[in-house]
Amino acid sequence: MSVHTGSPEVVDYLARIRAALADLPAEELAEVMEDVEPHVAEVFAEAGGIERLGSPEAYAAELRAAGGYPPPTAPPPERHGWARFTFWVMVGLALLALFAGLAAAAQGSGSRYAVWVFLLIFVAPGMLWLFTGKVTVADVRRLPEYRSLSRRFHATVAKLPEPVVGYLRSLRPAWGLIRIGLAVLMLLVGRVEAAVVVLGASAVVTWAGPRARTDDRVLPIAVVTNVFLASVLVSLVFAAFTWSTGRHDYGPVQYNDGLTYDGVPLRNLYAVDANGTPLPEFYLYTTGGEPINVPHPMCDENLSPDYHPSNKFPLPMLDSRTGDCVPVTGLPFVPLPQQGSSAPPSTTSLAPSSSTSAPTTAPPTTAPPTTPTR
Amino acid sequence: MDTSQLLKGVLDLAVLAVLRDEDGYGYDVLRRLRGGGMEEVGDASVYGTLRRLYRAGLLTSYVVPSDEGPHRKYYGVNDAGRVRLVESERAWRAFAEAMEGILKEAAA
Repeated sequence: MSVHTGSPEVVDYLARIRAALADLPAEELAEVMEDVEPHVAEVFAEAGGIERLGSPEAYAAELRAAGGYPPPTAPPPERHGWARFTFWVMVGLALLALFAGLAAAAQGSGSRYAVWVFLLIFVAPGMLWLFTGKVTVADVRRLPEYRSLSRRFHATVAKLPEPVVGYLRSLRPAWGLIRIGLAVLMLLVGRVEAAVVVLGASAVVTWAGPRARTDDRVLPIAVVTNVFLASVLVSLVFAAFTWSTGRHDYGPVQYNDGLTYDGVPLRNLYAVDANGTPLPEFYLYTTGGEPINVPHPMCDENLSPDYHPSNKFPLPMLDSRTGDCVPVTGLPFVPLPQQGSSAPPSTTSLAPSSSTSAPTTAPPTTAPPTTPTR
Repeated sequence: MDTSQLLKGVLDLAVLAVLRDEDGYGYDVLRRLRGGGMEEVGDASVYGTLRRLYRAGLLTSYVVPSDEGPHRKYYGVNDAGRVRLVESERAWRAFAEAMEGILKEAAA
Protein backbone atom coordinates (compact mmCIF):
# COMPACT_ATOMS: atom_id res chain seq x y z
CA MET A 1 0.00 0.00 0.00
CA SER A 2 1.37 3.39 -0.89
CA VAL A 3 2.09 5.96 1.75
CA HIS A 4 0.18 9.23 1.64
CA THR A 5 1.78 11.73 3.95
CA GLY A 6 -0.50 14.33 2.45
CA SER A 7 -3.82 12.88 3.53
CA PRO A 8 -5.70 15.31 5.77
CA GLU A 9 -6.08 12.81 8.63
CA VAL A 10 -2.35 12.13 8.69
CA VAL A 11 -1.53 15.83 8.53
CA ASP A 12 -3.91 16.58 11.37
CA TYR A 13 -2.63 13.69 13.48
CA LEU A 14 0.98 14.77 12.97
CA ALA A 15 0.14 18.38 13.75
CA ARG A 16 -1.39 17.34 17.06
CA ILE A 17 1.64 15.24 17.97
CA ARG A 18 3.85 18.16 17.11
CA ALA A 19 1.73 20.49 19.21
CA ALA A 20 1.86 18.11 22.17
CA LEU A 21 5.67 17.95 21.96
CA ALA A 22 6.06 21.65 21.24
CA ASP A 23 8.11 22.30 24.37
CA LEU A 24 11.00 20.12 23.12
CA PRO A 25 13.98 21.94 21.66
CA ALA A 26 13.27 22.75 18.01
CA GLU A 27 16.10 20.58 16.67
CA GLU A 28 15.10 17.57 18.74
CA LEU A 29 11.46 17.99 17.79
CA ALA A 30 12.47 18.04 14.12
CA GLU A 31 14.41 14.77 14.61
CA VAL A 32 11.47 13.16 16.37
CA MET A 33 9.05 14.23 13.67
CA GLU A 34 11.38 12.87 11.02
CA ASP A 35 10.94 9.44 12.59
CA VAL A 36 7.27 9.80 13.37
CA GLU A 37 6.00 11.20 10.07
CA PRO A 38 6.70 8.13 7.89
CA HIS A 39 5.58 5.89 10.73
CA VAL A 40 2.17 7.52 11.18
CA ALA A 41 1.66 7.67 7.42
CA GLU A 42 2.46 3.98 7.12
CA VAL A 43 0.27 2.95 10.03
CA PHE A 44 -2.66 4.97 8.69
CA ALA A 45 -2.36 3.11 5.43
CA GLU A 46 -2.72 -0.22 7.25
CA ALA A 47 -6.08 -1.70 8.12
CA GLY A 48 -6.86 -1.04 11.77
CA GLY A 49 -3.69 0.98 12.20
CA ILE A 50 -5.46 4.05 13.49
CA GLU A 51 -7.00 2.21 16.44
CA ARG A 52 -3.61 0.82 17.41
CA LEU A 53 -1.99 4.24 17.54
CA GLY A 54 -4.60 5.82 19.78
CA SER A 55 -4.96 9.58 20.10
CA PRO A 56 -2.08 11.78 18.96
CA GLU A 57 -1.83 13.19 22.48
CA ALA A 58 -1.46 9.68 23.95
CA TYR A 59 1.13 8.86 21.29
CA ALA A 60 3.07 11.99 22.18
CA ALA A 61 2.87 11.22 25.91
CA GLU A 62 4.17 7.68 25.37
CA LEU A 63 7.00 8.93 23.20
CA ARG A 64 7.86 11.58 25.75
CA ALA A 65 8.04 9.03 28.56
CA ALA A 66 10.09 6.49 26.60
CA GLY A 67 12.37 9.19 25.22
CA GLY A 68 13.20 10.50 28.66
CA TYR A 69 12.03 14.01 27.82
CA PRO A 70 10.95 16.30 30.65
CA PRO A 71 7.20 16.45 31.38
CA PRO A 72 5.24 18.94 29.31
CA THR A 73 5.21 22.56 30.30
CA ALA A 74 1.93 24.33 29.77
CA PRO A 75 2.42 27.22 27.38
CA PRO A 76 1.50 30.58 28.84
CA PRO A 77 -1.93 31.48 27.49
CA GLU A 78 -1.02 35.01 26.42
CA ARG A 79 1.19 33.53 23.75
CA HIS A 80 -1.93 32.82 21.82
CA GLY A 81 -2.40 36.46 20.89
CA TRP A 82 1.16 36.89 19.69
CA ALA A 83 1.02 33.67 17.75
CA ARG A 84 -2.21 34.84 16.16
CA PHE A 85 -0.66 38.18 15.25
CA THR A 86 2.37 36.46 13.75
CA PHE A 87 0.22 34.02 11.81
CA TRP A 88 -2.11 36.60 10.29
CA VAL A 89 0.72 38.95 9.46
CA MET A 90 2.34 36.11 7.55
CA VAL A 91 -0.92 35.32 5.76
CA GLY A 92 -1.28 39.00 4.86
CA LEU A 93 2.30 39.10 3.70
CA ALA A 94 1.74 36.07 1.48
CA LEU A 95 -1.36 37.67 -0.07
CA LEU A 96 0.49 40.92 -0.60
CA ALA A 97 3.35 39.01 -2.19
CA LEU A 98 0.82 37.43 -4.52
CA PHE A 99 -0.59 40.77 -5.66
CA ALA A 100 2.80 42.45 -5.85
CA GLY A 101 4.03 39.62 -8.03
CA LEU A 102 1.01 39.82 -10.30
CA ALA A 103 1.51 43.56 -10.67
CA ALA A 104 5.25 43.26 -11.24
CA ALA A 105 5.09 43.20 -15.00
CA ALA A 106 2.33 45.77 -15.20
CA GLN A 107 2.84 49.43 -15.87
CA GLY A 108 3.41 51.43 -12.75
CA SER A 109 5.78 53.43 -10.67
CA GLY A 110 7.91 52.45 -7.73
CA SER A 111 5.41 53.88 -5.31
CA ARG A 112 3.61 50.56 -5.02
CA TYR A 113 6.58 49.24 -3.09
CA ALA A 114 5.71 51.67 -0.35
CA VAL A 115 3.11 49.24 0.93
CA TRP A 116 5.92 46.82 1.72
CA VAL A 117 7.47 49.33 4.02
CA PHE A 118 4.18 49.64 5.90
CA LEU A 119 3.90 45.89 6.13
CA LEU A 120 7.45 45.52 7.38
CA ILE A 121 6.42 47.49 10.42
CA PHE A 122 4.03 44.64 11.24
CA VAL A 123 6.11 41.75 9.97
CA ALA A 124 9.29 42.68 11.80
CA PRO A 125 7.94 42.03 15.32
CA GLY A 126 6.35 38.77 14.18
CA MET A 127 9.64 37.48 12.82
CA LEU A 128 11.54 38.79 15.81
CA TRP A 129 9.23 36.94 18.21
CA LEU A 130 9.53 33.81 16.11
CA PHE A 131 13.32 33.86 16.12
CA THR A 132 13.74 34.82 19.75
CA GLY A 133 11.33 32.09 20.80
CA LYS A 134 8.70 34.39 22.26
CA VAL A 135 6.34 32.78 19.76
CA THR A 136 7.18 29.24 18.77
CA VAL A 137 6.08 27.67 15.53
CA ALA A 138 4.13 25.19 17.63
CA ASP A 139 2.13 28.09 19.11
CA VAL A 140 1.14 29.07 15.61
CA ARG A 141 0.34 25.49 14.67
CA ARG A 142 -1.94 25.21 17.69
CA LEU A 143 -4.12 28.06 16.45
CA PRO A 144 -7.50 26.79 15.32
CA GLU A 145 -7.36 29.00 12.22
CA TYR A 146 -3.97 27.57 11.28
CA ARG A 147 -5.19 24.02 11.62
CA SER A 148 -8.34 24.62 9.67
CA LEU A 149 -6.44 26.38 6.86
CA SER A 150 -3.77 23.72 6.74
CA ARG A 151 -6.36 20.93 6.67
CA ARG A 152 -8.17 22.62 3.82
CA PHE A 153 -4.95 23.15 1.91
CA HIS A 154 -3.89 19.54 2.24
CA ALA A 155 -7.36 18.31 1.34
CA THR A 156 -7.21 20.42 -1.84
CA VAL A 157 -3.78 19.11 -2.74
CA ALA A 158 -4.96 15.55 -2.08
CA LYS A 159 -7.83 16.10 -4.51
CA LEU A 160 -5.49 17.09 -7.34
CA PRO A 161 -4.89 14.30 -9.82
CA GLU A 162 -1.61 12.50 -9.23
CA PRO A 163 -0.03 13.44 -12.62
CA VAL A 164 -0.49 17.16 -11.83
CA VAL A 165 1.16 16.83 -8.44
CA GLY A 166 3.93 14.72 -9.92
CA TYR A 167 4.51 17.22 -12.69
CA LEU A 168 4.67 20.15 -10.29
CA ARG A 169 7.08 18.22 -8.12
CA SER A 170 9.29 17.44 -11.11
CA LEU A 171 9.54 21.18 -11.77
CA ARG A 172 11.18 21.77 -8.41
CA PRO A 173 14.81 21.44 -9.60
CA ALA A 174 14.12 23.81 -12.50
CA TRP A 175 12.69 26.44 -10.18
CA GLY A 176 16.15 27.77 -9.32
CA LEU A 177 16.84 28.46 -12.99
CA ILE A 178 13.39 29.93 -13.58
CA ARG A 179 13.98 32.40 -10.76
CA ILE A 180 17.10 33.77 -12.42
CA GLY A 181 15.25 33.80 -15.74
CA LEU A 182 12.53 35.94 -14.19
CA ALA A 183 15.01 38.62 -13.18
CA VAL A 184 16.56 38.61 -16.66
CA LEU A 185 13.13 38.88 -18.28
CA MET A 186 12.25 41.81 -16.04
CA LEU A 187 15.43 43.55 -17.16
CA LEU A 188 14.58 42.85 -20.79
CA VAL A 189 11.19 44.49 -20.53
CA GLY A 190 12.74 47.47 -18.82
CA ARG A 191 11.52 46.88 -15.26
CA VAL A 192 14.81 47.48 -13.54
CA GLU A 193 13.38 47.92 -10.08
CA ALA A 194 11.26 44.77 -10.46
CA ALA A 195 14.34 42.87 -11.63
CA VAL A 196 16.20 43.95 -8.51
CA VAL A 197 13.29 42.88 -6.29
CA VAL A 198 12.98 39.54 -8.08
CA LEU A 199 16.72 38.94 -7.78
CA GLY A 200 16.56 39.73 -4.08
CA ALA A 201 13.58 37.44 -3.55
CA SER A 202 15.36 34.72 -5.50
CA ALA A 203 18.39 35.01 -3.24
CA VAL A 204 16.13 34.79 -0.19
CA VAL A 205 14.51 31.61 -1.54
CA THR A 206 17.89 30.07 -2.21
CA TRP A 207 18.81 30.75 1.39
CA ALA A 208 15.51 29.92 3.06
CA GLY A 209 14.30 27.00 0.93
CA PRO A 210 16.67 24.29 2.18
CA ARG A 211 16.65 25.68 5.72
CA ALA A 212 12.85 25.64 5.93
CA ARG A 213 12.91 21.86 5.68
CA THR A 214 14.60 21.57 9.05
CA ASP A 215 13.79 24.90 10.68
CA ASP A 216 10.10 25.75 10.75
CA ARG A 217 10.79 29.33 11.63
CA VAL A 218 12.19 29.96 8.16
CA LEU A 219 9.12 28.44 6.52
CA PRO A 220 7.06 31.66 6.33
CA ILE A 221 9.96 33.45 4.61
CA ALA A 222 10.31 30.66 2.08
CA VAL A 223 6.56 30.52 1.47
CA VAL A 224 6.13 34.26 1.04
CA THR A 225 9.06 34.70 -1.33
CA ASN A 226 8.05 31.65 -3.36
CA VAL A 227 4.48 32.94 -3.64
CA PHE A 228 5.86 36.27 -4.83
CA LEU A 229 8.11 34.69 -7.45
CA ALA A 230 5.41 32.32 -8.65
CA SER A 231 2.98 35.19 -9.15
CA VAL A 232 5.68 37.19 -10.94
CA LEU A 233 5.98 34.24 -13.29
CA VAL A 234 2.23 34.19 -13.80
CA SER A 235 2.15 37.91 -14.45
CA LEU A 236 4.99 37.67 -16.96
CA VAL A 237 3.29 34.82 -18.80
CA PHE A 238 0.09 36.84 -18.85
CA ALA A 239 1.92 39.94 -20.03
CA ALA A 240 3.64 37.96 -22.77
CA PHE A 241 0.23 36.90 -24.01
CA THR A 242 -1.03 40.47 -24.09
CA TRP A 243 2.06 41.76 -25.83
CA SER A 244 2.09 39.02 -28.39
CA THR A 245 -1.47 39.89 -29.35
CA GLY A 246 -0.28 43.26 -30.57
CA ARG A 247 -0.50 45.92 -27.90
CA HIS A 248 3.04 47.13 -27.31
CA ASP A 249 2.14 49.39 -24.50
CA TYR A 250 5.17 48.85 -22.33
CA GLY A 251 8.17 51.12 -22.39
CA PRO A 252 8.19 54.89 -22.25
CA VAL A 253 5.40 55.53 -24.70
CA GLN A 254 3.85 58.92 -24.45
CA TYR A 255 0.15 58.82 -24.92
CA ASN A 256 -1.31 61.45 -27.14
CA ASP A 257 -4.99 61.80 -26.60
CA GLY A 258 -5.12 64.65 -29.05
CA LEU A 259 -5.83 64.71 -32.73
CA THR A 260 -4.12 62.57 -35.27
CA TYR A 261 -3.97 62.89 -39.04
CA ASP A 262 -3.01 59.86 -41.08
CA GLY A 263 -1.96 58.22 -37.85
CA VAL A 264 0.46 61.01 -36.99
CA PRO A 265 -0.30 63.04 -33.88
CA LEU A 266 -1.03 66.68 -34.62
CA ARG A 267 0.65 69.29 -32.50
CA ASN A 268 -1.80 71.97 -33.42
CA LEU A 269 -4.49 73.02 -35.86
CA TYR A 270 -4.67 76.27 -37.79
CA ALA A 271 -7.42 77.76 -39.88
CA VAL A 272 -7.37 80.51 -42.43
CA ASP A 273 -10.28 82.17 -44.10
CA ALA A 274 -10.80 82.37 -47.83
CA ASN A 275 -8.38 85.25 -47.95
CA GLY A 276 -5.65 83.26 -46.27
CA THR A 277 -6.00 85.29 -43.12
CA PRO A 278 -5.39 83.16 -40.03
CA LEU A 279 -8.38 82.85 -37.73
CA PRO A 280 -7.04 83.90 -34.35
CA GLU A 281 -9.52 81.72 -32.51
CA PHE A 282 -11.89 78.98 -33.57
CA TYR A 283 -13.75 76.07 -31.95
CA LEU A 284 -14.21 72.52 -33.17
CA TYR A 285 -17.33 70.40 -32.76
CA THR A 286 -18.52 66.99 -33.80
CA THR A 287 -21.70 66.49 -35.79
CA GLY A 288 -23.50 65.88 -32.52
CA GLY A 289 -22.41 69.22 -31.13
CA GLU A 290 -19.82 67.71 -28.80
CA PRO A 291 -16.83 69.99 -28.35
CA ILE A 292 -13.67 68.26 -29.58
CA ASN A 293 -11.65 68.86 -26.46
CA VAL A 294 -7.95 68.32 -26.86
CA PRO A 295 -5.25 68.38 -24.18
CA HIS A 296 -2.15 70.38 -24.84
CA PRO A 297 0.70 67.94 -24.97
CA MET A 298 3.32 70.65 -25.07
CA CYS A 299 1.96 72.75 -22.26
CA ASP A 300 0.81 70.32 -19.61
CA GLU A 301 3.08 71.65 -16.91
CA ASN A 302 2.56 75.33 -17.44
CA LEU A 303 -1.11 75.52 -18.18
CA SER A 304 -3.22 78.20 -16.75
CA PRO A 305 -6.66 76.88 -15.88
CA ASP A 306 -8.24 78.52 -18.90
CA TYR A 307 -6.25 76.30 -21.19
CA HIS A 308 -7.27 72.92 -19.85
CA PRO A 309 -8.45 70.49 -22.50
CA SER A 310 -10.70 72.56 -24.63
CA ASN A 311 -11.93 72.80 -28.17
CA LYS A 312 -10.42 76.22 -28.65
CA PHE A 313 -7.80 76.39 -31.39
CA PRO A 314 -5.03 77.01 -32.13
CA LEU A 315 -3.73 75.38 -28.99
CA PRO A 316 -1.38 77.47 -26.90
CA MET A 317 2.25 76.52 -27.40
CA LEU A 318 5.22 76.46 -25.12
CA ASP A 319 7.45 79.47 -25.46
CA SER A 320 10.91 77.98 -25.39
CA ARG A 321 12.49 81.18 -24.12
CA THR A 322 10.24 81.91 -21.17
CA GLY A 323 8.98 78.39 -20.50
CA ASP A 324 5.41 79.70 -20.42
CA CYS A 325 2.45 78.63 -22.42
CA VAL A 326 1.42 81.40 -24.71
CA PRO A 327 -1.50 81.77 -27.08
CA VAL A 328 -0.71 81.23 -30.74
CA THR A 329 -1.50 84.23 -32.82
CA GLY A 330 0.21 83.84 -36.17
CA LEU A 331 0.82 80.91 -38.45
CA PRO A 332 4.05 78.90 -38.44
CA PHE A 333 3.71 78.59 -42.22
CA VAL A 334 2.47 80.49 -45.21
CA PRO A 335 -0.81 79.11 -46.54
CA LEU A 336 -0.98 78.05 -50.16
CA PRO A 337 -3.49 79.90 -52.26
CA GLN A 338 -6.89 78.34 -52.60
CA GLN A 339 -6.84 76.00 -55.54
CA GLY A 340 -9.68 75.40 -57.92
CA SER A 341 -11.97 78.28 -58.81
CA SER A 342 -10.60 81.67 -59.67
CA ALA A 343 -7.20 81.99 -58.25
CA PRO A 344 -5.39 85.09 -59.40
CA PRO A 345 -2.74 84.48 -61.99
CA SER A 346 0.00 84.63 -59.49
CA THR A 347 2.68 82.10 -60.30
CA THR A 348 4.60 81.89 -57.14
CA SER A 349 3.67 79.08 -54.84
CA LEU A 350 4.37 81.29 -51.92
CA ALA A 351 1.15 83.18 -51.73
CA PRO A 352 1.23 86.71 -50.47
CA SER A 353 0.82 86.78 -46.80
CA SER A 354 -1.51 89.70 -46.74
CA SER A 355 -5.12 89.54 -47.83
CA THR A 356 -4.73 92.01 -50.68
CA SER A 357 -4.14 89.54 -53.46
CA ALA A 358 -5.85 86.56 -51.89
CA PRO A 359 -8.63 84.82 -53.77
CA THR A 360 -11.95 86.43 -53.23
CA THR A 361 -14.41 84.13 -54.89
CA ALA A 362 -14.52 81.57 -52.12
CA PRO A 363 -17.64 81.87 -50.02
CA PRO A 364 -17.03 84.06 -47.06
CA THR A 365 -16.85 82.33 -43.78
CA THR A 366 -19.95 82.90 -41.78
CA ALA A 367 -19.25 81.24 -38.49
CA PRO A 368 -17.78 83.80 -36.17
CA PRO A 369 -15.39 82.36 -33.64
CA THR A 370 -17.48 83.50 -30.77
CA THR A 371 -19.00 80.19 -29.80
CA PRO A 372 -18.61 79.82 -26.07
CA THR A 373 -16.17 77.22 -24.89
CA ARG A 374 -17.90 74.26 -23.30
CA MET B 1 -1.05 -9.58 33.14
CA ASP B 2 0.11 -6.20 31.88
CA THR B 3 3.65 -6.67 30.63
CA SER B 4 4.22 -3.03 29.77
CA GLN B 5 5.93 -2.38 33.10
CA LEU B 6 8.32 -5.26 32.47
CA LEU B 7 8.92 -4.07 28.92
CA LYS B 8 9.94 -0.63 30.06
CA GLY B 9 13.02 -1.93 31.83
CA VAL B 10 14.28 -4.05 28.98
CA LEU B 11 13.27 -2.02 25.94
CA ASP B 12 16.70 -0.38 25.66
CA LEU B 13 18.39 -3.75 25.57
CA ALA B 14 15.82 -5.15 23.14
CA VAL B 15 16.18 -2.23 20.71
CA LEU B 16 19.99 -2.44 20.78
CA ALA B 17 19.75 -6.20 20.24
CA VAL B 18 17.51 -6.03 17.16
CA LEU B 19 19.79 -3.39 15.63
CA ARG B 20 22.97 -5.32 16.35
CA ASP B 21 23.22 -7.15 13.04
CA GLU B 22 21.33 -4.83 10.72
CA ASP B 23 20.47 -1.14 10.72
CA GLY B 24 16.80 -0.26 10.53
CA TYR B 25 14.32 2.60 10.54
CA GLY B 26 11.75 2.97 13.30
CA TYR B 27 9.14 0.70 11.84
CA ASP B 28 11.78 -1.98 11.13
CA VAL B 29 12.73 -1.99 14.80
CA LEU B 30 9.08 -2.20 15.81
CA ARG B 31 8.45 -5.13 13.47
CA ARG B 32 11.52 -7.00 14.68
CA LEU B 33 10.45 -6.58 18.31
CA ARG B 34 6.90 -7.72 17.56
CA GLY B 35 8.20 -10.58 15.45
CA GLY B 36 10.39 -11.61 18.40
CA GLY B 37 7.38 -11.91 20.64
CA MET B 38 7.09 -8.45 22.18
CA GLU B 39 3.55 -7.97 20.92
CA GLU B 40 2.62 -5.32 23.42
CA VAL B 41 5.40 -2.87 22.76
CA GLY B 42 3.91 0.52 21.92
CA ASP B 43 4.76 2.26 18.66
CA ALA B 44 5.59 5.54 20.31
CA SER B 45 7.69 3.83 23.01
CA VAL B 46 10.01 2.44 20.35
CA TYR B 47 10.44 5.86 18.75
CA GLY B 48 11.06 7.48 22.12
CA THR B 49 13.62 4.81 23.01
CA LEU B 50 15.43 5.23 19.71
CA ARG B 51 15.74 8.96 20.33
CA ARG B 52 16.95 8.44 23.89
CA LEU B 53 19.60 5.88 22.86
CA TYR B 54 20.66 8.23 20.07
CA ARG B 55 21.01 11.16 22.48
CA ALA B 56 23.02 8.91 24.80
CA GLY B 57 25.48 8.39 21.94
CA LEU B 58 24.77 4.69 21.47
CA LEU B 59 23.22 4.90 18.00
CA THR B 60 24.09 6.48 14.69
CA SER B 61 21.44 7.71 12.30
CA TYR B 62 21.26 8.53 8.61
CA VAL B 63 18.47 9.42 6.22
CA VAL B 64 17.73 7.25 3.22
CA PRO B 65 15.70 8.91 0.46
CA SER B 66 12.72 6.99 -0.75
CA ASP B 67 11.03 7.17 -4.13
CA GLU B 68 7.60 6.54 -2.72
CA GLY B 69 6.62 8.38 0.43
CA PRO B 70 8.78 10.28 2.88
CA HIS B 71 12.47 9.71 3.52
CA ARG B 72 13.34 7.19 6.22
CA LYS B 73 15.76 7.69 9.03
CA TYR B 74 17.80 4.59 9.72
CA TYR B 75 19.45 3.82 13.05
CA GLY B 76 22.46 1.65 13.68
CA VAL B 77 24.46 0.61 16.75
CA ASN B 78 27.87 2.30 17.06
CA ASP B 79 30.86 1.11 19.10
CA ALA B 80 29.60 2.65 22.32
CA GLY B 81 26.27 0.99 21.67
CA ARG B 82 27.92 -2.39 21.23
CA VAL B 83 29.80 -2.00 24.49
CA ARG B 84 26.54 -1.08 26.20
CA LEU B 85 24.77 -4.02 24.57
CA VAL B 86 27.38 -6.48 25.92
CA GLU B 87 27.13 -4.97 29.44
CA SER B 88 23.35 -4.91 29.42
CA GLU B 89 23.12 -8.42 28.09
CA ARG B 90 25.40 -9.65 30.87
CA ALA B 91 23.35 -7.79 33.48
CA TRP B 92 20.12 -9.13 32.03
CA ARG B 93 21.32 -12.74 32.06
CA ALA B 94 22.49 -12.45 35.63
CA PHE B 95 19.19 -10.86 36.57
CA ALA B 96 17.14 -13.48 34.74
CA GLU B 97 19.15 -16.26 36.38
CA ALA B 98 18.59 -14.75 39.81
CA MET B 99 14.92 -14.32 39.06
CA GLU B 100 14.68 -17.89 37.91
CA GLY B 101 16.24 -19.06 41.17
CA ILE B 102 13.91 -16.94 43.27
CA LEU B 103 10.87 -18.22 41.44
CA LYS B 104 12.05 -21.81 41.80
CA GLU B 105 12.65 -21.37 45.53
CA ALA B 106 9.20 -19.91 45.95
CA ALA B 107 7.60 -22.71 44.01
CA ALA B 108 9.44 -25.41 45.92
